[in-house]
Amino acid sequence: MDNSGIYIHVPFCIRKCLYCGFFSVPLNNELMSKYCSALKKELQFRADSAQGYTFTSLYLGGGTPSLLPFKELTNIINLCMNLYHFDNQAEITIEANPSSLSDMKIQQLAELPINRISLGIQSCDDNILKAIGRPHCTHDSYHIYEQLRKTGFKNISIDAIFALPGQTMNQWKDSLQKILSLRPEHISLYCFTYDPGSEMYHRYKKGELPEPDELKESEMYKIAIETVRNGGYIHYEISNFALQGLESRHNMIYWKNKPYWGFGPSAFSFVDGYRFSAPASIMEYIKKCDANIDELYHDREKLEEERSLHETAALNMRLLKEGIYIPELENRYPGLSPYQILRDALGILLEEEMIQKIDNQRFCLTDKGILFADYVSSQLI
Amino acid sequence: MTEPRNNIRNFSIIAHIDHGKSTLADRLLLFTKTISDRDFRDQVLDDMDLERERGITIKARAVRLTHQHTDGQEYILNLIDTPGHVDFSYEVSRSLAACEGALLIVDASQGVEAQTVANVLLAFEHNLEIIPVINKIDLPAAQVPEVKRQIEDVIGIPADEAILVSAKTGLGVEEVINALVNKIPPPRKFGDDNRLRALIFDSVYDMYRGVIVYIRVFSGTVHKGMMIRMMKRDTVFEVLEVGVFRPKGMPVKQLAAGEVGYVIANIKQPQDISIGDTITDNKMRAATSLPGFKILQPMVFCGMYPVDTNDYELLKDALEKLQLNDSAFHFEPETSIALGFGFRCGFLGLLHMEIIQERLGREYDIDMVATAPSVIYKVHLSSGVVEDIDNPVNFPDTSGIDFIEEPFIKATIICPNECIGGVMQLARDRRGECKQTETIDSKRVMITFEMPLAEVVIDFYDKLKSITRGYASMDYELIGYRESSVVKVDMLVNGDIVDAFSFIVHKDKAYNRGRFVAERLSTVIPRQLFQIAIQAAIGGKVIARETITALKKNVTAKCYGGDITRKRKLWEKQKEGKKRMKQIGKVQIPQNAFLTVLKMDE
Repeated sequence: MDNSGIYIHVPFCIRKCLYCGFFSVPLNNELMSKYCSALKKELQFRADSAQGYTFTSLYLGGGTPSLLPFKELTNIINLCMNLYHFDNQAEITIEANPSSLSDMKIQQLAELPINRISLGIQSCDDNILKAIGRPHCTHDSYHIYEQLRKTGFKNISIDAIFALPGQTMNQWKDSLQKILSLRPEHISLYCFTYDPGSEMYHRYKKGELPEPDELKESEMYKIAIETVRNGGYIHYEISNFALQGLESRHNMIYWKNKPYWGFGPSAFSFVDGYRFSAPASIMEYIKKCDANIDELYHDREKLEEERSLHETAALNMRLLKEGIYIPELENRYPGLSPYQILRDALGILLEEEMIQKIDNQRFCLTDKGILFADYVSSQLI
Repeated sequence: MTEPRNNIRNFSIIAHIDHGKSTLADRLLLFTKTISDRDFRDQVLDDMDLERERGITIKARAVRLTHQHTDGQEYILNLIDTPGHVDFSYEVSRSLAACEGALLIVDASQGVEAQTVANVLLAFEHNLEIIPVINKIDLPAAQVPEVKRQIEDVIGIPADEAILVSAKTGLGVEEVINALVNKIPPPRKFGDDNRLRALIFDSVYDMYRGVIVYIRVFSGTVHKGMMIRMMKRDTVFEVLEVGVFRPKGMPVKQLAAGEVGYVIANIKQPQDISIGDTITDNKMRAATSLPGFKILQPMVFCGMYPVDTNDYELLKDALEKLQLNDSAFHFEPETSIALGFGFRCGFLGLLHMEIIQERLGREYDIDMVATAPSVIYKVHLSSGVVEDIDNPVNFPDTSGIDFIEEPFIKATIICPNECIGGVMQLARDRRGECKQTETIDSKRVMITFEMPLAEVVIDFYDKLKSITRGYASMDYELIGYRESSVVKVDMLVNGDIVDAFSFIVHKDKAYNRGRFVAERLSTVIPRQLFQIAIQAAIGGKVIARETITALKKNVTAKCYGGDITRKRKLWEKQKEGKKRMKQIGKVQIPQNAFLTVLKMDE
């Protein structure tokens, strides 16, 4: 049976960052406790169907999962460990933003089986942090990072955003240098977009914020790739860089198109060939978990074999080193002829120098192709 | 025995749009009890919804009124309704040819308008007795003496006996009836051989009975069972029924000289007859037909394409059905590289086109795309051959062209004095030449222009209306073809000509137009992996150029969590978008680029 991952969505934030389009609600203790008991019900509800799966990762994302009271966090992680079969090397990540952690909280996290922290520092410029509504400053970032190290966390990932409205190239280069000097094991770099549902999208639609600047985006992206690669990191996925062997195992599951189990409101699952998600409403989620949990998931979508193949190819291509490996696809889709099906698209992409062929069976993005990865994937889908 | 009867009066009502023609017709029907109050609904004669809504008459109608006159005799008054718009001037002319007189209605508050003048001129051509009627005198803004002066000065007919009417309240309607009997002459006689001659002035299609032909008999009689011959079309049909309109069809034994009515003769399609043709007895044929026949030629053309290619058959069906009641409307299949399968449609004029387009949407619920209207250019080749070109795609190679002619019109515009400057400027922009300026009253002038039809078919009315805040009226007539320096401009995308983007334009305007289209294209064609050159060219000579820079990136470095479905949808959308685009050379061109250019509004 395939290795899989579990994702738990904790939809609470002190306040929502201005660029964020993910589902979250303001922190509210009463709602938090109802959410926790609903989440436990959901974990229990699906436990039987997970028999036979081995989980290699658990990822607590959000929202701000570090806002969970220590007791609840402990209960939830323990419940997962008891109900689901985890590999003993499993990667267990919690997302945190610097303002949601304190020295005491860090000590508490260290008592749990959590072995990876994803720290959303986003920028190393206080003016930018203020402009995008982050609740922390750069000083908090460095302090928290140091505390995490001191406490013994050996796998820390840092998130940062580029091409924000008003951000200059020099500010971005400076942030990159500061991040590199921290020497995290993993770095995720995201290009800013106006996400529907975010405050900045709203302001952009009202004409208060500038149009996206494609040239700036591509220049900042190119600089980032170059700088982080030169810092000794492997650029293993469009947005992700890691020191050798420290790629995020949880994220790899997405790009490999392997099964994953999502829990909590708005979380997506891909199990036994079906994709589905719980409603992106905290009230509805709680209500359904309490009363009729069988009706929790909507959008149930079965992926047919050939469609799944196209999707796997499109996703695999985002992995810069591994790309599409034909024998692997043949193993996974024994009823289909993956090469025949993808040949025309691959041919065009080779001709356009978007991809390159490695040892005759493997197709990977070229440096040019990295900048057009969505186009490449759209050709493969 | 077939002498026209002296107690018949055949008449039309001529008026500018909205001056109250249909309302007065309704009053006449009510007054003569042709319809009862119970059956009455506003504007009985306009039986299409569209007509009632727009308040204009699209198809001519005829109705027979009977009136007990003060002299003790009963009179038959045949009202032949005419369409009110210039596009249907031939139909108007045939309707007038069926009459001996006309009521000229002028709105007491608006005064003489452009169509009033145009229709009176037509009536003069047919030597009709014209009875001026000033309508809407109940309005506070009515200016009866001023309107009388305009009728005398602008139209040139005496107006002291003009009848003052309010069709709305019924005031003056009896006077109108009396004037019809007393002033309009009884039916004219034609020829002296007593053989059947009947003028076809209209037709409608009935699903069960085929074509119903509207006729005015000038000599002889027509009755059931008779074999009739269409003299110009040279076809023969058996008469199944003759009748009169009261206002619904009522069969009668026969129609004799002077009478107006209908013939049903097992005619399957409207295309089998022609308006203006003469019907005669197949056995006892008349030697000469009635004058004035001509075959109607469409003047304005456009392509019509279903938005959804699956609707092609539906559109074809709808066009066929529309044609059943409108023999002036033509269409034939055509293909466009850009828009796929569709139809090239020909219309008498702009309003005609608008009405057909609106009916397709309204009655048949079809989403369709209409291309920019075009006229027919006569291209004289060096070989002596003349080609009629109504579609730039078919424009011949420049090297083989001797010279080109395009249709010109005489446009008559009546507008407020303060708008003269704006109207003159608009006409000059459209290559118009001012021929005459005439004062109508202290506030309005009548300006006559000669200008190319091509310059009027695209948004001229809209511009005129906006310049004059709706106060201008306009009428036009074709005055023939004139030599003109028009050129075909091609649009090239990365060196390839895209036929659907080509257009025909006067050479003085080619540069601006070419630059405009190139600019438009450069904004609607999405950037691609390489740089794209958009060029406008005449023959081989490039007159404008725009560049679409290459795409810098197409990647979102972003966190999607587990929402692969959303990511996939983005990719699928990109892929779908690409599929729906037309590939010209290496370049992908979206559908809306074709529309943007074809629409032409600047």
